[in-house]
Amino acid sequence: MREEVFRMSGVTQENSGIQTLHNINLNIFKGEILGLAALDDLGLDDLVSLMCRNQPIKYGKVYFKEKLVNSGTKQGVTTNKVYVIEKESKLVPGLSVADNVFVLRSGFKKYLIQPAVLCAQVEKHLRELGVSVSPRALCEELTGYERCVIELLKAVLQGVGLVVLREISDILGRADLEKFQKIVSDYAKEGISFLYICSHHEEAFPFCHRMLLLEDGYLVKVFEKDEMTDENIEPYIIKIKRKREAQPEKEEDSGSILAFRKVKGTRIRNLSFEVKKGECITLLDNDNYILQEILDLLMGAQQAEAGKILLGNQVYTCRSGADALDHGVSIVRENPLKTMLFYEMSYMENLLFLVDRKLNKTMILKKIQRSVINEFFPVLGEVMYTRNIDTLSLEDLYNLIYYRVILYKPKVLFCVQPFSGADMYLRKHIAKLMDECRAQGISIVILAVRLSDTLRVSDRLYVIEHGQVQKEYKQDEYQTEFRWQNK
Amino acid sequence: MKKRWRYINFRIKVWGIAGGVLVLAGLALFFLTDVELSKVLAAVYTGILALFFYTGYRCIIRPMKEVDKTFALFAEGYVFQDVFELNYALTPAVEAAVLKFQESINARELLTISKKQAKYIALQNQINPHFLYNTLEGIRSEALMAGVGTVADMTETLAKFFRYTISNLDHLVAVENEISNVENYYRIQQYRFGEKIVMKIKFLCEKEEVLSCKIPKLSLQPVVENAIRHGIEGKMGQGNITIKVNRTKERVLIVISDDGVGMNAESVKAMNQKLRTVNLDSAVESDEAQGGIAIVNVNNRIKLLFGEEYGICYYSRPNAGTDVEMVFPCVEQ
Repeated sequence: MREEVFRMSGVTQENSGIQTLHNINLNIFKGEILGLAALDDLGLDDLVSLMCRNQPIKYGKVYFKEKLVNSGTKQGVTTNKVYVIEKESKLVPGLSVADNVFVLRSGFKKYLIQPAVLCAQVEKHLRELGVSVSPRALCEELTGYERCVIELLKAVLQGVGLVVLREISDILGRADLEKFQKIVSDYAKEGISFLYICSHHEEAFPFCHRMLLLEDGYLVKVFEKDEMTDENIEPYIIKIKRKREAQPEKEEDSGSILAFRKVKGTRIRNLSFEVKKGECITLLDNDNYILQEILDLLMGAQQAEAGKILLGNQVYTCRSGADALDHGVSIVRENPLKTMLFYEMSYMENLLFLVDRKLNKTMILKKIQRSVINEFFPVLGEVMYTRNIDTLSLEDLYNLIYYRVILYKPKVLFCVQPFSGADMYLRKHIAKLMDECRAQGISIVILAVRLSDTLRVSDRLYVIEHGQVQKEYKQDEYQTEFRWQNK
Repeated sequence: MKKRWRYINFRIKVWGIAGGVLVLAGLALFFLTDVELSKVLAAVYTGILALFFYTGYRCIIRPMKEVDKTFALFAEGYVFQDVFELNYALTPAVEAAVLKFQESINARELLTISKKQAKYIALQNQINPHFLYNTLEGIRSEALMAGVGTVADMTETLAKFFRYTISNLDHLVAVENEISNVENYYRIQQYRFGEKIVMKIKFLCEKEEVLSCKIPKLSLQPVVENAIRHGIEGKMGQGNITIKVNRTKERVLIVISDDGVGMNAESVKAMNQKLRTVNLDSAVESDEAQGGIAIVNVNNRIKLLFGEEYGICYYSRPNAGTDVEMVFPCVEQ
């Protein structure tokens, strides 16, 4: 007989007057890895929050370990023994791994702490998990994988019944993700339950025992293990299709726009790849090891120790980010809504942000502004006149970011994890914007630690391990090689 | 006293009296004690005041909020039974009014109306069960003698189905019996649809653990019937029905899935809205052969028998099929 660790029965929740969860019925069994693929963002935060804290809900009942802990009529707030591992670390910086695991937890009642004993304990547990991290290492020194393992170990040692893993593939590279999933599976066998939240069903299918689909705050489907097939999920998702006709003819003979030739850096080892005009390639860093270093090389924050970077036929040297832009290398960073927009500026000011650099003028004439409006109004619409961009939808904000690039028209655009954290509808929109960039002749290099939808927009894929290219795949090759990740 | 403590107006009275005493004590402290003593007493008095307000919050404000929330949920259609099962009452008169209201709704009568749906074949056609069984047995014998084995089998299955449907309406039955009835129903439908319908039953737990659990009679068959009528009949090609049976420590979970035409989002929302609480309107209309009414009545029966957290929930998408999740408590006796 299976034991239910967590159960929601008809839970309905409102947040700021908006109904975020509608009649949610879900249960997690002991030792189960339950997948949850959110087709959009609505309700996900509230769902996770309700799992951790028994805050007031509009209607429904919540049970933790078969005990009623929250209901529509209940007053007061309590917490459940649930741990969430997500993008933001819960480890305290400045403290060692051992301190984080043992000292900072409820139920630790010792007044005299023996660091040697704690370190030996942590070391023993980590050895069992096959992770070599010094217990005395500071938390800010840990890699993404190490941090996730330490947090998981902390949760297990705290005796939590349920661990929520939220979008961990944004933190972990493919190889690390596989190792981490192995550890999670082993813990599940020991009776710990997991809720594995991801934005992509392909990620959950091979790993989870069951999978839920959440859309618009409604639970729309529960897939049992044997039902997790592409055919079954097809009616629930929208597929990203490449707009091939939008691409210009590839100039095979014209050579590459950007090429790395045996580039060597701190972590990079003999990295070679190239991108042609109007082409889109993906650099998949399986270890999440060198993406930042590639960006540093492009932005001039670091110089290559050996090898060369060619832009067109010339050696690319750069002193700063502005210099990179002048050379025609543009970057859309991960989570660009936070890093690439100026919320105190109007839509037009944001859109024209790089134009002054392109035209080499300090003031942009009204005439130029009018011609930009005339050109982009059919695509962007009335939002171009928005003064406060805070009020815009996600799609409009992404339009702003990518059309700013199109307006600047660089030679190469580097997109860092472009689909990270985006829901199904937004991913489709981003893919459409990338198509638009390529239609304008801009080459795209996607820097990714997981494939997600990147293959749907890419012409070629470079798989990078330990700082160098392990294999190059053409489109027809990776379709078969990465089948589960590319359906 | 203990009985009267349920009523919030009584608590307010007690609290008010205590407040009056505290005010008098405060005045006495102010006028009668000397300076040295008053400091100590003032501290004690402040402590008592804090306790007084805390008690007021715990014993009056929180229960009032709970009652208020329950009534609000009732007004919005989220709960039905909970209004009659409150831990607190505002006043004896309000409690009496609620009880009177419950009587006028007459949940027992409602349950009977729902059960009528369960025996709809017999009620609608005014069939004498014994006459029906005997006739079917006669047809079976004739068919066997004429060497038409299929007709004999079909008649036997039909007789079994009717016997189960019409007899013993008041009892909960074992999951095993319900499943066996659904299999009979499927066999009858197979004579009509042939290979078009394929039904599978999967046990997601140990079979023995769940088969003896009791659930309301004729809970599953209307759902399977709905899956065929509204899901698979309209689909081109073969349709599959899967019944997944699972059991936890506290609950029996049965999911009946079909890969038929499915329902649009609005229909699913409307259906789940109807199923969220005991639905009086549909129970009254139980004799009408409307799509979904049978399901609403099964849901009413489950909720009235076991409580509002049990019942039926729909998941569906056009061209993907429909899943009907049924949740029952574990009743083994």
